[in-house]
Order: sequence, then structure tokens, then C-alpha cells
Amino acid sequence: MEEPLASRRVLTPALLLAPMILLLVLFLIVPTFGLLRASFLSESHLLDGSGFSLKQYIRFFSDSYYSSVLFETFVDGIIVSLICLGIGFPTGYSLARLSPPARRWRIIIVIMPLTLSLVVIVFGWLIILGRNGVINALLLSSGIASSPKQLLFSRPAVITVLVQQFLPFMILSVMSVVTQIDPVLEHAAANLRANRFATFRKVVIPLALPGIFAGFNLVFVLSISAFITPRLIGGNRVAMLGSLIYERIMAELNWPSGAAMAFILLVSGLGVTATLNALAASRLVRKGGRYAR
Amino acid sequence: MIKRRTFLKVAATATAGALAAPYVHAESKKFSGITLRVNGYGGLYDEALKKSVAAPLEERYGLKVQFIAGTTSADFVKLIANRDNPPYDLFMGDSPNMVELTKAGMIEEIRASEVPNVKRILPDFREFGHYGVPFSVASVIPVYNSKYIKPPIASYSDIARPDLVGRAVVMAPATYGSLLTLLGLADENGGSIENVEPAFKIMSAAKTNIVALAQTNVAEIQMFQNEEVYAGIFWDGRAHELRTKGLPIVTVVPPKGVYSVTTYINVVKGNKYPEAAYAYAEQLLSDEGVLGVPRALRYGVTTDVTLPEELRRDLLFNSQGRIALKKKVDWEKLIANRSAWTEELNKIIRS
Repeated sequence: MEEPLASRRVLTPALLLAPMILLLVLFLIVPTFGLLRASFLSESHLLDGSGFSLKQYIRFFSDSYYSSVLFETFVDGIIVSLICLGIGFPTGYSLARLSPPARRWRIIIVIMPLTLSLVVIVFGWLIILGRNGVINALLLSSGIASSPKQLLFSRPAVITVLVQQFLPFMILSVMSVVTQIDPVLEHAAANLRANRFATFRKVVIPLALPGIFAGFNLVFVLSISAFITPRLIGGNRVAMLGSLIYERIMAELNWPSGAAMAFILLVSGLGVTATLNALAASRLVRKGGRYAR
Repeated sequence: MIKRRTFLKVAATATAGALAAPYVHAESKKFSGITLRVNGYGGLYDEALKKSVAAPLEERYGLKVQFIAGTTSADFVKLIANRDNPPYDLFMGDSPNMVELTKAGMIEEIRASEVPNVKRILPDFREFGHYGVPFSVASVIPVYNSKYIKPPIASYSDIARPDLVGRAVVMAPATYGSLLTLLGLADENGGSIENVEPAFKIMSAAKTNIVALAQTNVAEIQMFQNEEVYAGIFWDGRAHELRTKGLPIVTVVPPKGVYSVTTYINVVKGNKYPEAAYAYAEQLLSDEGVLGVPRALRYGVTTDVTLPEELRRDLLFNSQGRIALKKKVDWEKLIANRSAWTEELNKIIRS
């Protein structure tokens, strides 16, 4: 009787996972390998694919322009993630400490921007940041500026819009972890004469680290792969690798070059997030060890 | 009392009518039940084609046409990825797309024996031999807002004029508009398709003028409407659209020549209804069909059609003299240089 039960224990999870694995293999892994293959083609055209060459990668790394675009993309990703953390942590924390009924509507408000089309959001920002937009009207009416300022088509504009787009991911990540932290721990710290800042630094932050890193990872990955926002809000003057990849593949039909850039972004992005996760894990283990002692 | 002669006349007409009726009916139902799939450009463009081409075909032959709006490059990828079962019966593409389409061997040749109206196409407007039927032409030209720009802009190179600092827009690198702009700049400054270095020099000089590189036509329209920019390089039809929105946008005809892109309709190889596809091309080149796009968007025509006065006034190529300004482009060379030019332009603008 035990044997069928054991085999069922193995089979059931496998069967439950099968549809997802099949979907991933068919629509993610197989196309990814196709793209990887394309990145090793020497030609610069979709229709001329044959042979094996490192030409696309060599071209990327031998031209300082591309290295600088890659670097700027990562810097922008980190800035966006840090700003999202700065704004998202207090919001996520306060939401987590609310009762579920009080939290419900606030969460709907947080996730509302995710239900809108990105193009609609971006065109909305074009109007807000334009010369005749709301921000310029405020600047003029308050006397801060004497003439309309050029707010669009700049790096700060791109970063602002990316923060607005990806903030919900940070808020939700932080909130989901903070809800697991028992408020009693904060009360206990207060009983032990820790002030609010010490409680926040020594109790809340360490326990919320998994949520912070999860949110940071999500926002970082989404930011470095963004292409619509840099193209429309940056007016092509703000270099981000995502928009270059889009240009290569969709406008120039230069799949080999676009595929190579996509893989460089994928591998370097994974490298950065893996390093961050490793740092987070080691910090958590260290903390855990300290508390165990 | 009916006369014998009258009786014979009436009887003969009635008999002929009775005999011909099934054929007339058959002709009107010739393509009934057939739906042609065409990749669309979306918006007003497709609406114009529906009105001037699809609707008359349905009325005359029972032929239905479905426009599937998308971006041409993505549609092209879809087409070559489904070579055995093409997702479109007709493929609409601009001159640069024609290089890819002919190279991929995806389209049929079209001759006057299949589409008689092909004979009406103006000289030099059919750039790819027997491939493709050109029906519309869009030109890349300098435009400016006359409310703010006082000495008029006169050429492509004026984009680098010092009084335009922070006030100009050009089309994004890798777009055909951007590549044609480079050709225009090169041509005006002693260069050519073989040597676009003079164009890059002008773009470097214009860098501080260029606020943004418009990714889409809608984005560029919005920049002019919101007065983010006062001058730029744009499509002639879109400049007209801005004027209809009440903006004092002036279209400049560069004296050294105008760079244009022609839009073609192609019959896709392996499509199930070649005869219906040829009927579409024939209607597209008819007076009614070829005037559809200009009526809606003021892009130029490619045939000997007589332009109505309201169109003649607005169209860039409205006379023999103007048509003579249309520069010939070696599209194959342009496509071959696209990546390198785009890369160089990106480096200049983002440096």
C-alpha cells in the first residue's frame, strides 16, 4: 500500500508543475535558445543567417559607446530602484500595519497604474512634463520659473517616469514581508528602551530585508529592460540598452546584433541581481547566526 | 398596335438581357465569399483605403478586404516566418521594405497583363522593376512654425541654424525618415549615398538644436502641437495634418531636391486568391483608388490621375516641375548602410 502512495507523492507535484514547465520551455526556453543562436551569426541581417561567429559580441565590447550605454543603463536601474525603495518602503510598511479592510482600497490604488497601458501612461507624462504641461504651469504660477522649462527628453524625466511605473512592485514586495513581521517584536524593542529609529534600524529593516531585496531586484530588472519610456520620454537622447535592442531588431531588422545585446543585458543583469542576492543572503545568515548565539 | 420592327427590337433586347443576366450576376459575384488580408498602417490611412478601394470592390465583386493594422517591420517578420502559410494576401510596404521583400522572394511580379492600370504609373515611381504597385508617395521635408521662426527655413541643412537652439526635432535614427534626412543633408553639402559624412557634420552642428528624436509620427505631431519644438524634418502629409489642427506650419521644398519614400502594394507569393489580389491592385491604381490616401492625408499620387484643385493646392508633387525634384534613391545601398548610419547618428546625438 505504501508504494502507490509514495509514487503519488512524486507524481502529483510533477503533474501540477507540468503545464507551467511546458509553457516555459515552449515559449521562453526554446525562443531564448533561438535568440542565443542568432547572436552568434556574423551577418547583420535577419535573412542572412549562417555560420558561427563572435563578431557581434566583439563589436559590442570593442566600441566604448556600447559599454557606456550598458553602464548608464545599470546606473539608471540602480537609481530607479533606490528611489522606489525610498518611497516604497514607508508606503509598504504603513500598508502592512493597517487592518485588512483598511488596506484593501489602498492596495487597489497602488496597483491601479499597473492596469493601464504603458503607452497611455507615457503619453500622459508627455502632457504633464510638456512646456504647456501641469508642472510648467505650477512653476510659472508660483513664480519659481519665469518661462517654461524643458522638462521632457532628459534623464531625470526618464527616471521619474520609470519610478512611477515600477513603484507598485517595491510597495507590494515590502508590504508582503512586513505583514509577516509580528508587531510584538517592535513593542519588545520599545520595552527594551530602543527608540523608534533603533527599532526601525535593528528590528524592522533586518526582518524586511527579503522584501527589500525582492522589490529591488524586480524594479532593477524592469528598469534596465525598459525601452518604451526611454524612447518616448527620453526622445532618444537618453541611452538605455533596451531601446537600442528594440531599434536593432524592429527597425533595422539586425537580429544578430540585437540578440547579442539582449544576451549581454541578460547575463550582466543576472550577474548584478545574483550579486545582490548573495550579499543579502550572507547578511541574513550573519544576522541569523548572531541571533542564534 | 405594335409595329413589327419595334416588336423585333424589344424582343431582341429582352432576349439579350435575359441571356446576359447570369453573366452580369456572375461578374458581380466574382469574388463573393473571398476575404483578402492586407497588413494595415492603421488609423486614417487604412480608413482611406477602405473607403476608396475596399468598399468599391465589395460593391462591385462581393470581395471583402480585411486590414490588419500593425508595424510594417513586425508584419514583415510575420510574413517570412510563415512563408508556407502567409498571414497576408497583399502586403503593403514602403520602398525600403521592398528591398527586403524582393530579397526574401515573398512577392509576385505584377505586369500590365494582370493589372492594366500599371500603365498609368508615372516614370521613376516604380523602383523595383515588375515588383510592387506604387500608389502613394511621402516626402521628408523641413517644416517650421511661422509664428516663431521668422527668417524662413529654406533647406534640410537649416536645421543647424543657430536661432533654432533647443527648438528642433528630427525623426529617430533607424527610421526611413531619418535615413532620408541624412541623404538630403549629404546632398546639400557635397555628399551622396556613398559619402554621408557631410550629413553627420550638419547633425553634429545641429545637436544643440535637436530637443528630441521623434520615435513616432504621433510623438512628433504632439511636440509641434505642444510647442516643444518650432522646426524640424517631417513627412509632408503630417505637416498638412498639423495645419488642419490650426498650427501655422510651413512646408519647405528644398531647392536641391526632395527625398521621398513610395508606398507599394504587393501580391504575396502563395496567396490563395491571386485574381482577387490583382483586382485590388487595379482598383488601387484607378482614379478613385489612388486619390483615397491624398484626400485623407495629402500624400502624393503615383499615376497620371488629374488632381482635383483642393488636392493640387496641398500636395507637394503637384506639377511636373515639383515631380522633377524627387530624388532617386538606391534603396539597396540605403538598407546596406542603415545600421552604420544609425549607429553613427546615435553616437552624435547622445554624445
